[in-house]
Amino acid sequence: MVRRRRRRAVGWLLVAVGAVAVIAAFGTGGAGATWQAKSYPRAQTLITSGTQWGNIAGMNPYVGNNAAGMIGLVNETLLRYDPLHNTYISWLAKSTKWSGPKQYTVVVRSGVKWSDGKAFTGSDVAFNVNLARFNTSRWNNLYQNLKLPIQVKGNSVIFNFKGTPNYVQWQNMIWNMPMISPVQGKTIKTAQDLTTYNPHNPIGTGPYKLDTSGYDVTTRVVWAKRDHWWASDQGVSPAPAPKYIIDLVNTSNTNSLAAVLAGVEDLNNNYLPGVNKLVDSGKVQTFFPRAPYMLSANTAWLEPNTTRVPLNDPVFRKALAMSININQIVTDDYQNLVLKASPTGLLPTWNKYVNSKAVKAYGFKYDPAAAKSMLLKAGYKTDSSGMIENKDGSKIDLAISVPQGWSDWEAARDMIIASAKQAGIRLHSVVQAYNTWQSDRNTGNFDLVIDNAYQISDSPWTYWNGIFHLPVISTGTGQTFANYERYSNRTAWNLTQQLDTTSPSDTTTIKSLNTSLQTILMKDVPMIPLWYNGIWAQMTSKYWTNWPAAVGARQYIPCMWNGYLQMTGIDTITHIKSTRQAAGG
Amino acid sequence: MSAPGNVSTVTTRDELPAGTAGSPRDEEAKPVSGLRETLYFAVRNKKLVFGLTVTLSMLALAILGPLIARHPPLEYGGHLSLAPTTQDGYWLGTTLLGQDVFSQFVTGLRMAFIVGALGGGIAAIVGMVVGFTAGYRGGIVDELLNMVTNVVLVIPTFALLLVIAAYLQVRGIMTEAIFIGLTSWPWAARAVRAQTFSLTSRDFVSLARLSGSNSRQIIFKEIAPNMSSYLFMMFILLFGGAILIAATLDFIGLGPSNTISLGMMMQLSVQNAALQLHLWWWFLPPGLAIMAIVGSLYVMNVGLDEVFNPRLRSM
Amino acid sequence: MLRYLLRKLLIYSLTFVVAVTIDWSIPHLMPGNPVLALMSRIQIQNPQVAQHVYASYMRSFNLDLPLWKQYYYFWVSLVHGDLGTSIMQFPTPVSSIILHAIPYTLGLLIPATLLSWYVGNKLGALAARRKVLDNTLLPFGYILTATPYMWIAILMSFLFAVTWQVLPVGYAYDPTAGRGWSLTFGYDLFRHWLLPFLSLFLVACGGWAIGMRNLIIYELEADYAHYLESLGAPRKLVRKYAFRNALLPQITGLALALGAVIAGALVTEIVFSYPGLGYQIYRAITNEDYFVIQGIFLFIIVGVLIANFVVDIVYMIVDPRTRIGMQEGGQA
Repeated sequence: MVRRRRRRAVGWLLVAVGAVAVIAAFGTGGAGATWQAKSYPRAQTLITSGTQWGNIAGMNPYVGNNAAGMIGLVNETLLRYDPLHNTYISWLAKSTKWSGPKQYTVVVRSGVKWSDGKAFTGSDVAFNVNLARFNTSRWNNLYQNLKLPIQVKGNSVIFNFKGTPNYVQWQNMIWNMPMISPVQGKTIKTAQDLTTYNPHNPIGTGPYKLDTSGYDVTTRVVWAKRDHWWASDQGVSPAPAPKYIIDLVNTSNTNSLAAVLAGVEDLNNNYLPGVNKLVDSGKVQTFFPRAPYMLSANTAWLEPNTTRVPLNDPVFRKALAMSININQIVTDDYQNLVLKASPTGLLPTWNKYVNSKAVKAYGFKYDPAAAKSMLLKAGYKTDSSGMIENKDGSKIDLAISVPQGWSDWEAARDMIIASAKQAGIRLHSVVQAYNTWQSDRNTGNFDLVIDNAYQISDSPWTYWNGIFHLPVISTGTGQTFANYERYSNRTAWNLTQQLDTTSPSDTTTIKSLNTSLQTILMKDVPMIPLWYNGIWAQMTSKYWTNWPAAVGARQYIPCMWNGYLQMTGIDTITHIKSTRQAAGG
Repeated sequence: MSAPGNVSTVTTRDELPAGTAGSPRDEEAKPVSGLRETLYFAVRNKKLVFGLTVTLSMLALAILGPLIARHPPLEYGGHLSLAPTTQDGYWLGTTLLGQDVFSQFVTGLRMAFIVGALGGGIAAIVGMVVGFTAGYRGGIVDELLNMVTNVVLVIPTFALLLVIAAYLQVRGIMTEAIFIGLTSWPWAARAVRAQTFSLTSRDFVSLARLSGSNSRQIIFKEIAPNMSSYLFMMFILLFGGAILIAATLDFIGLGPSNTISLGMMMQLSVQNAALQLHLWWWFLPPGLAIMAIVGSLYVMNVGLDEVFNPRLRSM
Repeated sequence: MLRYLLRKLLIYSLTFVVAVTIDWSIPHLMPGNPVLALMSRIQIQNPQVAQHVYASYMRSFNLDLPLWKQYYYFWVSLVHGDLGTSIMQFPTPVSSIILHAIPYTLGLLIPATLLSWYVGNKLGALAARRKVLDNTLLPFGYILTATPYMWIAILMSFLFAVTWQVLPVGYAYDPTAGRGWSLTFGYDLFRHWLLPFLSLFLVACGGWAIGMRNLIIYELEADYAHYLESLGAPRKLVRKYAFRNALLPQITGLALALGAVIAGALVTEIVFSYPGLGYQIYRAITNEDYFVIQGIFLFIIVGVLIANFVVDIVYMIVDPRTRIGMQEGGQA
C-alpha cells in the first residue's frame, strides 16, 4: 500500500519534471529557429532595450513593431540628420541637391555593397522611391507630385516634379526612407503587400545583419556585425565595436530598471521614473549629468477640441494655458527629467526659429489670478463657488483624458485639474484605454487631451503641419495624422503650405514664415505647449564606455527608437568602446 | 470549502455526493438555545479571537484613518519620496510624486473592506440562490444551473472586465465589487448545492414537505438555518477572496479610476521603481495589510469551524 | 459509466459553445474600432486614401459583414485553426503568438499546480498528525495563502534578483544565451524559471496544506475512524484511510483552483517579464488588441474545460461511490 502511494508520488514528480523538460525544449525552439548552442560573448555584445514594446512583428520597415534597430543597422538611408547641430550627413548618397526649381538630384556613393554582394546603385534608389506609389506608403502624397519615370543615369538619380516641390517633406523623406533590397522587395506588388512584407533575413547596406539563430520574437533580436561595411571601409565612419547587438523586448519600466542596475542592459531607452536619483548616485549615466538629464524628443501639448464651447474661444484657451502650473509637473511629476516648453512649443533644437520678441509679447505665463480676471473681463460669469461659467450662465465642466496606464501623464493630468481649479476652470478626468482614447481623439469626441504626436525632425514645419493642417474631416475615420484639435485657420494653413514650398536657400522667408506661424499659435492658442518629453536614455559603463555626452566631441543621440538611428544614433554605436580587453577585441 | 482568489484553504467534505456515511453535520441541527454554548467556545478559541482582533483593528483603522489623515490621498503635496516622519503628518512618508502614503493606505483599507463586503456579499447571495435551487430541486434544474456555473467558472473574468472598463469612463469601487461578486460565486454555489443535497434527503425536510410547506419556506426555514454556520463561514471566505481578487485586478491596471486602493498602491509603487529606489514605505504597507486582513479572516474561519463543530475541538 | 461520460461530454460541449460565444462577442461589444488603431500606425497623409484603406481593412477583417455572418465565419475559421490576426503586431497571426507563449506558461502552470498540490497535501497531512507541527506549519500556511501572488513575486524578485543578485530579474533566458540542446542552456532556463515557479508554488502550497489539514481532522473524527480505532487498528492505518478520503474534495478543488492559478500566473509573468500567455494577455488588454484577447481567452477556456473534464474522470476512477451513485441513476 505504502509502496503504491510512493509510486504514485514519484509518478507525479516525473510528470511535473517531464513537463518542464518538454516545455523548455519546445518553448525556446519557436517556429523555424535553428539550434546552435553557442552563446554571445557578453564583453563583445551591446545589449539595448526600450524600443520594442510587445512581440516583434517582423522585418518590415514600413509597419510598426518591426525589429528594433533594423533601420540604421541593416537598412540605411540616403542622408542622415544631426538635430543638435542642424546638419545633414551624406550617407548612402554622396551628394543631394536641388538642381533646378523642380528638380532634385541624388548622387549615390560608389563602392557600397548590399549584404548579398550586389552593388548599391541608383536604380535601387529609384526602386525604393517607387514603393511610394502604393497608398499605404507614408510618402504617397509626395509621389503624386513626381514626374515618372524617375531618371537614373549611373549613380545619379534625377527627380523631376510636376508642380512646386514640397521641399521640406521631400528632404525629410530623403533621410527617413529606408533602402530595402529590390531582390527581396520585388515581392511587393500591391498596397497590401507593403504592409505584409516580411523577409526572413533582410538584405541591407548597414554594418549589421540579422542573426537568425538568436532571433526570438517574444524576447530579443540579435544583430551580428558584418565583415565589411562601406562606411568604415571608406573612412566615413569608424567601424562599430560591438560584435553583436541584442535588443530586448520591453516588458515593463521596472524590469528595465532592474536589468540596467544588474548590468544586463547597457543602453536603455525606457522612461524610468526616479532615474535622476540613480544618475546623481553615479549608478547610471545620461546625456546631461544634471537636469534636464535628457535631450528633448517631442512636445507634450494640451490639445483642446476647438469646435466645442467654450474651447472655441481663444480667450478661454489662453486663460486655460495661464492656469496650468507646468513647473509643478516638471519638478514633482518628472523630477526635472523634462524641460518646461517654450510658449511656442518649438523644441530646443529649433531655438534659432524662436522669435523672442514675439514670445515676450504674446507668450503665456503661469498666473491663475490673471487668467480668472481675464475671463471675467471677457464676459464669463462665475457661479456661487467661484468657478467660471459660460457667458450664457451654463456650467463649464470639461473632460480631460490621457491613455490609461501612462502614469506620468495621469499624474500630469491630475496636476492640471488641480491648478486649473485655482483659476476657476472646472476639469474632470476621464479614463480610457489607448485605442479608445486615440479613436475619440481622431473623431473629435473629446474636450481636452494631452498629446505628443509630433516628433523631432529637421524642420518646425512638421509641427505647423500637425497644428494647422486642413481640411478637417468630420466623418469616417476623422483626423488620422494631424490637427486633432480641429482648428480651422485658413491663413495659418496657407502659411504652412508656403513654408513647405519655399526653397531651402531662401532663409529669410523661412524665418519670417516661422515667426508668423508661432505668433498665430501664441495669440490664438489652438494648442497649449506643456513640456518637452525626453529622449529617454540611460547608459551603464560595466561593459561599454565612451557614451555620448553633452560636453565633448560625442554629442550624439543615444537612442534606438524608430527614426533615431538615422539621426545620430548610429554614431553612438560606432563610437562606444569596450571596457574589457577581449581577445580579438 | 475552497476559497476563490487563491487556492483552496479550508476544504470541507461538501463536495461528496449525498448519503455519505459519517457526515459531521448529522448532529448539527441545533436550535437557537445552543447560542450560549457556541459563545462559550467562541471566546475560548484562540484562532477565532486572534483573527477577530486583527480584522477589527484593521476595520477601525479603515474607518478612523481617513478622518485623521492630514492630506487628501491623491494630492500632490510637493514633498517627494519622504521617508516616514512625524513632520506634516506624513507618518508613512510620501510617494515618488509627493502623495501621502498614510492617507492612501487608510483610504485603501476602506476600499478593501467595501469591496470585500459588497463583493463577498453579492457572491454569497448569488451562490446561495443558485446552490439552494440546484440542491433542492435536482434533476433538470440542477443540470442547467450546473452548466451556468461551469460557464461562469470558465470565462476569463478579465475579458468581461475589459468590456466594462471600455464602456465606463469613470470606474468606481462599486463597479469593481459588483463585478467580483458576479464572477466569484460558482464555488459557493457548488458548496451550497452539495450541502443542500445531503440535507434534503433528511427526515425533517420530508416532514416539512408533508405538512404542506412550499419550497421557498422549506429552504428558508428548514435547510438554511441548519447550514447557518456553514453559510457564515462561506461568506467570510468570499470576503477574503474578494479582497485578493480586487488587489490582483488593481495591480494589472483594471482598478477603480477615481480613487486609490491597496492594489493600486502596489501597482504604482512598482511602476515607479519603489523597490529599486528603496522607497519601502510605499510598497510594504499595502501588501502587509492585505496579508493581515485576508490571513486573519482565514484564521477566523478555521476557528469558527472548530467552534461550530464540536468534533474539531479536540485538536 | 458510458452514459455518465457521454452526459458529461454533452454538458461540456454546451458549455464550450456558450463560453466561446461570449468570448467572440467581447471585441464586438467593445467601443472603439481595431481597424482605426491599425490605420494610425500606418499614418496615411491623404484623407481620401485613408478612407479607402480603411474600407479595405474592414473587408479583410470581415468587419463590414452583419454580426451573424461574422459569428458564422468565426466558427469556420476556428475549425481551420485560424484565430485571426493581431493588430499591434500586424501581420502576425494570433495562433503564432499563442504558440510562442504556451510553452512558458505551461512550464510554469503544470509543475506549480501539481507540485504544490502534492506537497501541500503532504504537509497538511503532516500537520494534522502532531500538535507541534500544527502550530508551526499552520500559521505559515495562512500567511502564504493570504498573500496576493504579485506581492510575493515582487518580494522574491527584490530579494533574490535585485538585492542578493543570485537569480535573474526576469525574461526566460539570459539575453546572451545561445538556444540549443545543452546543459548550460537548460540550466539557464531553469534559473530564470525558478523565481516565477516559486512564487506560484508557495502561495498555492499554503492553501492546499491548510485544506488538507482541516479535512484530515474532520475525517479522523468520523465514525468509521473511531470504529477502526476501537477495533485496535494502528493509528497509521486510520490516518491512511483518512488521507484517502480527504483527498477527494481536494481533487475537485484542483479543477476549481485552476482559474485562480491562471490569474496568479498572469501577474507573476508580468512581474518577471516571463513571455508566457499571461504576459501576452496583459499587453493585449492594455493595447485593446481584440483578436489576440479573443484567441488567448479561447485557448484558456478550452484548457480549463479539458482540465475539468480530466479531473472529473480522475474523481470517477478514484471514488467508487460516484460509480455506484451513477449506476443507480443518481446525480453526478
